[in-house]
Amino acid sequence: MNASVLEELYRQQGPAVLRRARQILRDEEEARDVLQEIFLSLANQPTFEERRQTTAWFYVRTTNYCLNKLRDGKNRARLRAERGRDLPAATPARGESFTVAREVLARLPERLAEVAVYYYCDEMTQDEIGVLIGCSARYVGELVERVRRQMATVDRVASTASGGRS
Amino acid sequence: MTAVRQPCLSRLGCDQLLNGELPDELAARAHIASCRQCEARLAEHVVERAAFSVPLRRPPTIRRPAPPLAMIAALAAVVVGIFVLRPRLEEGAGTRAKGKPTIGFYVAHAGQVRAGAAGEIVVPGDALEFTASTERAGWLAIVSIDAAKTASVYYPADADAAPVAPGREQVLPLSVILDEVVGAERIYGVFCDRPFPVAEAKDIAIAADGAPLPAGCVVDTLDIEKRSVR
Repeated sequence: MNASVLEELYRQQGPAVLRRARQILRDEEEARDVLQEIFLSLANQPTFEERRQTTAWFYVRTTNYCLNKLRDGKNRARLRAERGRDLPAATPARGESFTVAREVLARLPERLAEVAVYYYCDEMTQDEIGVLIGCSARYVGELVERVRRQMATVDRVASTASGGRS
Repeated sequence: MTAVRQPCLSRLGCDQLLNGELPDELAARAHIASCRQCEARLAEHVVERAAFSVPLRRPPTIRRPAPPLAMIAALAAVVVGIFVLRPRLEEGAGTRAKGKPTIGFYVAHAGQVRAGAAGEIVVPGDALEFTASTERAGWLAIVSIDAAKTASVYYPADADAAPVAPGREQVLPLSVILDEVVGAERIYGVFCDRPFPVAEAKDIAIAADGAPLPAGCVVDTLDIEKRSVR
């Protein structure tokens, strides 16, 4: 890809890519690595074809990339260690930071984790999420409901566990 | 007529607005002017952009063109690899349907060339050189879906599929340097008996395996496993 096109994309999309990586990974160094990896992978492509929905493309690309990283063994071990210290596993209210749910994210099925990030971190409407992942808003509603149920389950388990320790 | 209330902007909506991609920008701006929450959120994004100062690292490797000497050396390595490794590649093709067009590949890693096989373990920075085998002339595009579910076109570099002549294991005139995304990757060789845009090959790859193919098209797949360390 032409260097000036890449620079322009980086200037426009870099802040959102870094924000998303920080939200999911909660590790500054890893988030910056993701930022570089996403754009370096584009540098090896002859063209960038997703021009009409460029921002949406970067949201999807970065979210999937970070969720994959979250699922790898090293990160899961780190998350377990953090959970062991004192992080609550409460269901996040709409608009709150998603920090508390990273362990849940790592365990959710791929599609549910993706929907959870768009719904809670980005506060997207079900219509917006439907366009991004290629399904109806109604189906997105069902997915969001499944995310809520799974988070509530984790919350109950965590409450029981912390009650047992005190 | 009933006025439709513009919904609050999501983070995506804010970024699309700042990037000039929002279809109804006027309505969005009118909403922001009357909504403190959206105004604050947009301001947050503007500040975030102004503060963004992480430099973009230069790519360590690029797809072609390579410098002439490196190209000659790489070509020599691949040619040697083809003569030395051809029998292994032919043996590996035994599981494929007779007469069906197929793709194959060679991997250049740390100056060594080896024939690729199903499940081949590769690392970021490795170069792949593809081959095509077909009994009939047609058109070919090679695309991949990586572990991050991103579709990339590996061959050709143009917007349309490249013609391919009948022949066995014809080395294609384009190499690919693998990027940093690790995990399982599936490579699709889309052969059709007519010219077609590579975007169509991407659509075929994105569709679930087993989905009906366009008439006159055949797909051959290869799986590789990309790891950070070999």
